[in-house]
Amino acid sequence: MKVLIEAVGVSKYYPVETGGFLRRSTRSLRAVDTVSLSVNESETLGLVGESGCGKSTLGRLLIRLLPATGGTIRFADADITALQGKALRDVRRSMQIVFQDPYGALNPRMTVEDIVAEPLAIHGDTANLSTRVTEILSHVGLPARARERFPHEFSGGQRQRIGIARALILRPKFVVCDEPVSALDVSVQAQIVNLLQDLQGEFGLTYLFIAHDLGVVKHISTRVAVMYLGKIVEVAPKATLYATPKHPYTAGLIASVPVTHPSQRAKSRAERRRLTGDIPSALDPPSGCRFHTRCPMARALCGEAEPATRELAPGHLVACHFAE
Amino acid sequence: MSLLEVRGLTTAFQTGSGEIAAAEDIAFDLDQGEVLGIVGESGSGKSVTALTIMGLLPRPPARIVAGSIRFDGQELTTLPDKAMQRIRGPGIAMVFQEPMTSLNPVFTIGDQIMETIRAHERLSGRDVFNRAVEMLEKVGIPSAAQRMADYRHQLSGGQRQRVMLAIALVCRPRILIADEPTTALDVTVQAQILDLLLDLRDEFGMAIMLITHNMGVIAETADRVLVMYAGRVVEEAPIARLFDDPRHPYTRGLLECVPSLVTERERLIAIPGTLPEPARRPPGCRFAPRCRHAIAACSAGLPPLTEQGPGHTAACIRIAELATP
Repeated sequence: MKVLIEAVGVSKYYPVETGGFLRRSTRSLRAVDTVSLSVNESETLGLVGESGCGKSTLGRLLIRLLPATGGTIRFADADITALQGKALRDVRRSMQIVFQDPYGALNPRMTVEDIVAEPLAIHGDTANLSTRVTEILSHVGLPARARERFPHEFSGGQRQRIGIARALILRPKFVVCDEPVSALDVSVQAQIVNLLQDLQGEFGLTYLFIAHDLGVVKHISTRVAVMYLGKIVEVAPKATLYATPKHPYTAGLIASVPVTHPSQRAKSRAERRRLTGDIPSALDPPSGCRFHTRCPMARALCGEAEPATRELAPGHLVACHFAE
Repeated sequence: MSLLEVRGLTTAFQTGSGEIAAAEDIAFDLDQGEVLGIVGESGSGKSVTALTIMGLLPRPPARIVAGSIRFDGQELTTLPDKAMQRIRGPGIAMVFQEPMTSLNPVFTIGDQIMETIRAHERLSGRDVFNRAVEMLEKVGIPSAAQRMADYRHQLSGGQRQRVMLAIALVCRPRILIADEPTTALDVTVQAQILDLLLDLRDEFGMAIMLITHNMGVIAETADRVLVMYAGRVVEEAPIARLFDDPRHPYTRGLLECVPSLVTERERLIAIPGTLPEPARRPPGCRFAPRCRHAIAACSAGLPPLTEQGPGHTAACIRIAELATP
């Protein structure tokens, strides 16, 4: 297994002004806080967590769509953290993103051909443009005649195919899929998930698959990382993570997923080990382990010291004082 | 007699290209204490049906073309607006998907709960306040008395949905219509809200009409299920039968296409194609263009709902041939 892209101690802080007109002060919102994570070549790394946990920010940091506050990002063994100008543009050819909202992500005034060809134009790579657009459209299951049409003429699922075509036309190695199916109707989601898997095989792609749907993530991922309030709390091969989650947050997340058959309903609602409360504010994260305010197993130590990430079994990383 | 009886209900909208039926020939019963799940994707007519029952669609452009809605024996389709206002709240209440936009940003949440109480009951100011606080406690808002003075932006998504539930339930409705109440929420909060809904059902004995696109939410909560596609009911069944012996190809497709935590598949079983737009619905069975079992006869006419077992109906002309051996 070869690591394709890697974050080492990466952080993203946003300055936030608080306190009103007279007592203004600036604090930092720690969207991503000293995270280390690697994605292996040709695998799909699933990234899950509640909204506001920083998973989309982390995805954007990896492909340099956002500048990191601290830490190092390595792509194909090269440090890309500080690249600028042409060097940055060159490396970006290899890293693309598919966005969640197929309605907001496509310019309504541009034809499909212009949308899909725009990355080629940006990189000054316009030879055989029309043929290449047609070719990539056929890979994502759209007919050549789609080229002259506008985004509003397509359904949500078809628009997501256009977004995927735009991401793949530069033949990237690494693609961040940021909630690519969560805005779609359920009967259409499976089509797009299958398509992403087919394309991964055809083009040898490596995915970071960001989603909050644990079922979809289990289906598509090789390994899964769980994020909570700016920190990675657990990483494991998918079968291990779902069968034997070691972090209490991961266990709580999995227990919250609705059952698939009414016969699996818990006998009593009190029986279920549900997570209580909401995710705390990233402006003022809890001390020690950030999860301790919602953790059913929290002890005194958890509020005092931040847990180190430990490797409990090969490839199974957990940041919890008491996981074993 | 059921608490709510809907029969042959068709709601249409006036559009630039003529009148289009958003929900057609909808029929179902809802009994006290029951959770009826209504499953469908966008354009299925599930929300339009709910809003028609609530009398909340602006007319025009909306129009009830046919059918009846009987609540506790009283016909609602012909009820004057004033009388309908007295039903909304203590009779039938509704919560919506978007807790972000359904609370007024310039009033405190306390104001909004108390407004609802005052609209329906004559109580002293102190009683109104206490009743509102009590309701907030019931839906699980900690230190409720202090939170009465909070505004929308001070609450998390889950708390907003709890406040919406408090507003809907403060008049002790006999029916609660919940339209995608957890769709905008994280799974952890979704589980909390679903548990809360069922706890409140047990406590108040109200009936719940739970509208969702998520089969997991249905599996977790419903007693009986209505499956809708492109404006029509395609299958109705008690919860266990729907999951054990679904008859309509669309229902089967919906159950198969969602990856779960227990099943393991190389590829997902996708339903091909996309949902038809209301103005471009195919003739005959509306699912036919996406159905792997479709034959020419499927496009000839609308398939009627036929009896499949106790309380179980489905609208497909090929059920007998497709039945599981």
